[in-house]
Amino acid sequence: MSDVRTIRVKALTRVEGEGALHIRLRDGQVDEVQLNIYEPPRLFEALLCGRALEDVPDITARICGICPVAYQMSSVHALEVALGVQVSPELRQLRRLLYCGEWIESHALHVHLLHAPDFLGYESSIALAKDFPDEVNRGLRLKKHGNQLLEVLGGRAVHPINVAVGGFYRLPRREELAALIPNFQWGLQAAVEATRWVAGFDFPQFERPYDFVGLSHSDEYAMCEGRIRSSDGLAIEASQFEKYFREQQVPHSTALQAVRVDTGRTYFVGPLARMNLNRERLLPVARQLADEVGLEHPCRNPFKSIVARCLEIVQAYDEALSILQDYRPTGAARIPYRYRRAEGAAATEAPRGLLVHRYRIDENGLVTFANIVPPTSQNQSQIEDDLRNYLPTVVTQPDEQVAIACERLVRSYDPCISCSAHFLKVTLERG
Amino acid sequence: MTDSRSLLVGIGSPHGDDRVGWLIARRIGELLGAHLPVKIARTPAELLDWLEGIDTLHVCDAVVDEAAVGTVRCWDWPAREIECVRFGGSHDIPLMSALALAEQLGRLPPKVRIWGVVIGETRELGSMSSAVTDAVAEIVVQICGTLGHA
Repeated sequence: MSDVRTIRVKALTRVEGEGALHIRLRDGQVDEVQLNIYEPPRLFEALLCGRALEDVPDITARICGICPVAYQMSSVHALEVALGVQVSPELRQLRRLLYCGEWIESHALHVHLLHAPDFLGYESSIALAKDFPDEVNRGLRLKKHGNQLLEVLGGRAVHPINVAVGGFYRLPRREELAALIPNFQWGLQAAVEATRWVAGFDFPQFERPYDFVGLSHSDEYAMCEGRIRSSDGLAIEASQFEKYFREQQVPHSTALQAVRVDTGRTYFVGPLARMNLNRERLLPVARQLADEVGLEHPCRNPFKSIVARCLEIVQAYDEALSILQDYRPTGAARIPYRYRRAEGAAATEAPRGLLVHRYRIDENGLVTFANIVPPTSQNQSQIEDDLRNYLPTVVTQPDEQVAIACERLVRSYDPCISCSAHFLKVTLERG
Repeated sequence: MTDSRSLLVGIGSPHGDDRVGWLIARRIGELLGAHLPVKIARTPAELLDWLEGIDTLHVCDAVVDEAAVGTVRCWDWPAREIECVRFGGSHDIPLMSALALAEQLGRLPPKVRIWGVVIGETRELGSMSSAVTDAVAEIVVQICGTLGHA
C-alpha cells in the first residue's frame, strides 16, 4: 500500500489574483503538482469583438490594475501594425517612458513588499517593515514615482486613459514631466541601493536548464519592440508567435498554459529571461551594477529573479530620467490612419514577461478577432515544472515548511493570476 | 466646517457591486466638495501615497460576509473584528495589510474609520444590485452625519 502525502497551501499570499497549489507525494516521490487557477475566465477577447478599435487600449487596460500599460502598449502596437501606422520617434519615446513608469511601480511593489519578506524570514511586508522600515519606505517611494509618471503621462495611475491608437490623446507639457526629474534622480540611486540589498540575500541553490523567451532589440533593452527570441536560438516576429508557441487548456486551471510547439517544452518569461537575453543592452549603470553584484550570465536560478527585477528598476529610472530631461513636445500627438480590413500582431514586455496581442479589424474600424497571451499563462506550466524539480530538495521538511518553500518559488515569478484568467490555495498529498 | 485634514478614499472597480466604494466617494464629493476631499482607488496600496498630513481617514470598500447584501458596516481602526472580514476584490495588498503597513511605518492618521458594504456577486462590468445601491444612500447620510453635515 502506497503512502500518500498531500500538501495544500490554501491561500498563496503576496501574489496578484486567486489560485491554489495542490501537491501529492507518493512514497516520498512527487506524484502530482497542480497550479490551480480558479478565477472565472474573463473573456476579454470576446468583449472586444464588434467594438471600435479605438476602444481596445482602454478596455484591455482593465485586464490588470498592476500592468495596464503593458496591455495598452501591446494592443496599440498590434492595431498599428494592422493599420500600417508608424508612430514618430518622439511618440515612441513617450511610450517607452510610460512603460518605464509601469516597470518601476510594479517591480518596486513586488521586490520590497511581496518578495523580500521571503528571503529575510518574515511572513509579510508588515512584519518586514518593523525591522526594515527604511527599505520598505524606499519601496513605497519608488512605487509612488512610477505611479506619478503614469498619472502625468497616462492621465491616471491605475488604468491610464491617455494612450491612443496612433499615439496619445494629449502630449504632456514639458514642465509637467520636468517636475518629476528630482524624484527620478533620487530614485535611480535608491534603485541601485535596492539592487545591492537584494543581491545580498541568501538564495536557495536551485537551477534548471530553462528556455528563456523574451523580446530582443538590436539597439536597446527590449521593452516595446523587437523580435521574440529564445535562449535556444529561436528568433521570430510577433506575428509568428502562435506558430511556435501553443496555448492549451488543462483541467485544473481556468487559465490557458503555454508550451513550445516544436519541443512541447515549457519556457520562462519575465525579468530573468529578459536579463539573460539582453544583458549587454542594459544602460551602463544597470549593466555595471549587474556585474558588481555578481549576477551570473546567464542566471538559471529562478529565485534570483528579484535581482533581475531590481536591475530593471535601475534601467527604467535611468532611461526615464534621460527621456524626462530631453523632452520637448513636438509634432502631433497622434498619427492619423484610415480603416482597412487587416490583421496585426505585436508583443511587448510586461513587468512579468512577454505579452502578445493579435487582432483582426474590418474596413469600418471594428474588431473582428482578438487573441491575448499574457505572461503568467506562459509561465504557469514552467512554475509547475519547477515545483516538480524543487520539491525533492525540500520534501523531507514538515508539510508547513514544504508549502512555504513552494510558495516562495511561485512568488519568484511574480504571477499575476488576474491577468491569466486572483489568493492561491496549496494542497500537498504525501503517500 | 472644513475638514481640510480629512480624506475619504473609495476603493473599488467598475464591476457590479464592487464599485460601491467609488460611488460613495463620488456622492460625498458632490455633496461636500472641499469640506471632505475624496480619492478613488483601485487598490488599497494607493492610499499609502495620500496619508501625509491627514488626521482623519475614511475608507469605503466592499466586504463579503454572511450578512445580507447591502448591510452597512463601520469600524474604527484598530478593531480586532476587522481581521476576519474579507474585503471585496483581490487587490495587490489587501486593505487591512495596507493600513497595518501604514501604521507600522508611522504613516497612519490618528483616526481611521472603515465603512463597508456587504456585496453579492460581482460580474465583469455588471450593474450594481438594488440592495447595494440603497446602501450607498444610507452610508452617505451616515458619513455626512459624522462630519456634522447632515
